[in-house]
Parts: sequence; structure tokens; C-alpha cells
Amino acid sequence: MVEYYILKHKGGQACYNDAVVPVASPELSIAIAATEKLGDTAPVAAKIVRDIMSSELVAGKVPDLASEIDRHTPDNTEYMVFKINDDRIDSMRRGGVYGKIVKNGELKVLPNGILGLEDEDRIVCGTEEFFSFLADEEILADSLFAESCQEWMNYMIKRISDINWLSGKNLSAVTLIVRSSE
Amino acid sequence: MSSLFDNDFGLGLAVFILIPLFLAGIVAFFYFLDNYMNKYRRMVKDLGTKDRNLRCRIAYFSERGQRKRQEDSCYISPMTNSEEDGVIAVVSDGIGGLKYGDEISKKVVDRISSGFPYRFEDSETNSAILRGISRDIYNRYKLEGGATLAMVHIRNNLMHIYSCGDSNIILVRKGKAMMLNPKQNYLSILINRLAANGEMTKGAYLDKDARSLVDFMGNSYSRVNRTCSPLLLFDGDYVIVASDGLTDAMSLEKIADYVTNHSVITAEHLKLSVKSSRRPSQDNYTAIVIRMEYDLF
Repeated sequence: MVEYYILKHKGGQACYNDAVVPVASPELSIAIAATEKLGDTAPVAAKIVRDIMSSELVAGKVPDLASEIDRHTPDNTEYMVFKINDDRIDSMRRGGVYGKIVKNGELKVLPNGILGLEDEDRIVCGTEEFFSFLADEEILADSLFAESCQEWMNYMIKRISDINWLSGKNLSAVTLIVRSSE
Repeated sequence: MSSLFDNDFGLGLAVFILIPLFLAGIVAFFYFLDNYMNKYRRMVKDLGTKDRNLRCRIAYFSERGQRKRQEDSCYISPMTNSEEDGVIAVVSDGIGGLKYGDEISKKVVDRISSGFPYRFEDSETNSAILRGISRDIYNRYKLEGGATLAMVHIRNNLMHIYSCGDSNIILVRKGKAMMLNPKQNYLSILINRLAANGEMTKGAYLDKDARSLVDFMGNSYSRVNRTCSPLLLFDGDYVIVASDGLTDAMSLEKIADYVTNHSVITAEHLKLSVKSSRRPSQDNYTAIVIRMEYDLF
């Protein structure tokens, strides 16, 4: 089982233009799109990502999903799309959306492609805006203290709030914990 | 003729055998010396891997500030068997304004010290032991007092953290100070609530109850936060376990500025800085300053 929690916060902006789209079947697939650099086309790009994730394409492979997003969204759309189960994560990303993984008490950048997972591995994926307020040591400490994905996210939100009262740009992120022993 | 031969033979022996032997000896000597030194060079360069041992250099201070009583208590475990048992550093801050703050903080550290050593790997059991201490305090004082808990358990280059309330565990690494433990105060709840509604959180910081504790040692069923896996420490890291009297008086950035290469000097700098700020309402301030150093030999 993979537990996850999604953060979608508009920050100090008028509306939330990014996209975080989870699809639970057949396996958990999630797309995160940062539309900050797109200007007026941001809502359209976010809708395209949502449409692709709700189509039958989501059952296909991650590279196919990524190329579909590439084909239909503006050039400077930044996104990450991944599929995850108890054993592995398969991810593709473009631009300033990326992930970090806590494995055996250490934090590492999540690489593109397939990575094997074990019980209690913890992953956070998000936009550059989200990560810009968090030091690696803080992300790691929060993940090790947290008993659930929501708690982990709340700890990180508190840190961002301490810096800017959540008054900056859109914040988009997802935390995941592998619970293969359950 | 024969002596000429002897001379030539001796000269030849010197030129063709002894001198190369001598040079080879010098080369071999430097080769082995370089190899020997390389072992240590690698150890110094390759910091923070799990097979590297670090040792703790610890200093502490505990001051009353402008308060009538000292309600902070602290404990540092013996280091005689630190490779096996690790080192424990605890700060407990009695809740101000309540009757038994000082007594309870002392009880917390006394109970922890009497239970030492703890199994480093088993943070879940250790957390349960700490919850048991909290429950005993509740049974004895029935919420007429309470105390915070900030505790680190360091063994070699790994650290587990335990925390209840709003005391601080700070990591200073490469000139940057970071708060490691989450705070169990009302501010955290307000921020989560506002963030979940998609709102900005400025209002939470203005709330008059923002700093009120929602959990502490002595609460009926307190939650002692703990790390499920240990954090990796590196040579030159500072871990500061402190009551909020320190962090109220100076920012994290300022704390990082006071860090030097020696734990005693760092502790002295921090103490003097709070003292010289002469804040009229200065709370008790206590800190255990731990510098992680590479154990070269």
C-alpha cells in the first residue's frame, strides 16, 4: 500500500493554477504541473494535464504519459509524472518539479526512471516554489518525525508558513509513504 | 692490477647495485608513507559515511534569566561507554506560571537519567518509556504543572530525537541553523487549519494563544515525538538542545553566527549573548551544545 497526501495551496495568488492529479487505478499515478511560468496559458495547461490523467492513457507507461503531456502543453510547462506501488516508482520530470526520497534515514534526489522501493520509504514531490523554503535536513527531520503523510506535509507547511505566511506563489506537493508490510 | 680490479669492482658494485638499492629504498619509503597518510586523508575527506565514528564535545549552560526560579533542568549521560550506549542530552523546561514547573522538569530528567542506558535502535520503546514518565507525572500532579522535553540520543554518527512540547533541538550545519523538532503548540494547529482551507497564515501568528502548549510531559496522554530512523551527523555539525529561553532571545541565524570550532566557546558565546541582551522578561535559558568531531584515531 502507498499512503499519500496532496498539498494544493494558492499562496498569496488570486487562484490556484498548478495541477496535482492523482489517479488510483490501476496503480497510483500522479502528475504535478507547475504553471507559474506560463502566464495566461496556465489554466489551459493545467486542464490539459488533468484531461490526460483522466483519459485511458493513464494506464500506459510513464514515458508515454510524459510525451503526451509534452505534445499538448506549452513548451515551458514544468511537470512530473510518476507511477508508484509497493515495489517501485517510475517517474519522469521536466523543469522545476522534482522529488526527494528518504531511504534508510537519508534524503536523496529522486532520479528519473525506475527506482526500487522498500517498506517505510518516504517520498516528497513538489514544485520548485515548494522546495525553495525547505532545507534538506528539515525535510529529512520532518519525514522521520511524521507518522503519516499528512503529518509530514503539515510539518513542512509550518516551516514555509514561518517564512512567508503562505503568501507567496502557488504551492503544490505530494508526500508518499510506502507501507508494504500492511 | 688486482687492486685496480678490486677498485673497479667496488665502484661497479656501488654504481649498479647499492645506489639503485638506496634509491629504491627511498622510493619505497615514500610510497609506504604516502599510503599510510592516504588512509587518514581519506578518513578526513570522506566524512559522514555510516562506518565513520564521530565523538561528541559537549558544553552546557543553565541560567535563571529574570525569573525568580530556575524551572529548566538538564541532563547529560555519562560518556564512559558511549560507543555502545551512546550519549543522551536532555533539556526539560517547566511550564511557567504553574505551581510545580521546576519540580516536574527535575523529575523528568531524574527519571530519564535513572533509566539510562537506553537501546539506541529502539526509539519506539524509548518513546513509550518517556510517555510512561509523563503519565506518572500526570497521576502525581493532575495537570497542576508540566514540563517540555527535548532529548537527543547520539551514538557514533547517528542521532535519534525525542521531543514533547516546544523546547528546541537545533542542528547547525555549514553555517546554517535549522530547527529539527516539531512544536506541539496551538500555533501549529492554527497554521494547519488555515492551510487546509487554502488561506494565508499571518493571523495565526497574531493569535494571543499561539504559543500555548497543546502537549507536554505531565499531560494525561501526551505524545512524545520521536524519529523513526536516526539522522546521520557529520564532522563539524553542532546539535543544540535548548529551552525556549534561548530561541526567544536570539534568532536561528544569530545562533549560527555564534558557532565556533569549540563547543565550550560556542556555549559561552550563546550564554553571554543572551545575558547581554538584557531583556527585562528574560525566561530561564538552558542549552546543551554538542559539537560532532571526527574521531581520527
